[in-house]
Amino acid sequence: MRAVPALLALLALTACGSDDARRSQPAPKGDPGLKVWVAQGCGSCHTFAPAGATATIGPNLGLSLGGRSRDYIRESIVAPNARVPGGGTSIMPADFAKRISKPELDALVKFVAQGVRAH
Amino acid sequence: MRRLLLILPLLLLTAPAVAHAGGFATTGLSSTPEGLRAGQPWKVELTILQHGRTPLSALRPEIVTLDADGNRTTFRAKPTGRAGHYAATVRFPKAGQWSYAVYDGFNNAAPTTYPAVLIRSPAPATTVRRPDPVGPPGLPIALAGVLLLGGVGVWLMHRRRHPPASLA
Repeated sequence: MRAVPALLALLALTACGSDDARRSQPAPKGDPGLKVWVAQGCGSCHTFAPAGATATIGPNLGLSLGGRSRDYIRESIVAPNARVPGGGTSIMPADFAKRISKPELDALVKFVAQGVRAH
Repeated sequence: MRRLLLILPLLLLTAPAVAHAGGFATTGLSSTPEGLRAGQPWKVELTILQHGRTPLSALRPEIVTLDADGNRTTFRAKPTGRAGHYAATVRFPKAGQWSYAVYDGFNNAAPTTYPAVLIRSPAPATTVRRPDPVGPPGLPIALAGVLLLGGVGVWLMHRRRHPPASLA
């Protein structure tokens, strides 16, 4: 009998992990920040629920950026080595300021900030 | 020998981290399928960069779609000729909520996932209103009426000029 709850928990865990794509919820319609996120491949490294992203190369943004200002988020994107928690060097590319325009960056910062707040 | 025994577990522990650090790529998409209707093609270009920097060629990336019932369909992306760029055409055959993910062909253990999208019903067949070649719907009746009246008028005039011969 003891084994039943454990088995149920295991089944629940495997069901959750069976397909990442199935877990995501519809995104806010036409969000320009999400478009930048998708175009730049941010979801290949980060977990971020509002973007349906589940990658684990970089930090989970819902956790690492919780309570941070928009300026901090902007700096984390354009200068990822400025403040690496625990020191060291970030593996995140440091040239996003060159890759994306200012309006795109603004939209991305807004999208991430709103998503972090909702986390 | 003791040192080796101490170092070996350390090497085994750090090896996966090192392998992981060298084995990731980012996948950027030129568009999302948002706003599409069922059956409409989603033409999308993938940009795959190792470590988010170096274009990766000779990969076989795939886009996998998943409907609300969990049915998977795989769409192969083909190289465009530009390093790191691949193109795919994806179709969502029915309306409803769909999920999708990109397997970059470099590290397929970690697909890039996106928010689910709502695919709309196919556009209703548009009925083209062509101009009536004959004219308004009442025109034939009016013409028939005019012809009938004209005919009766002609008959009456003819009868007045040539009254029928009396049988008596």
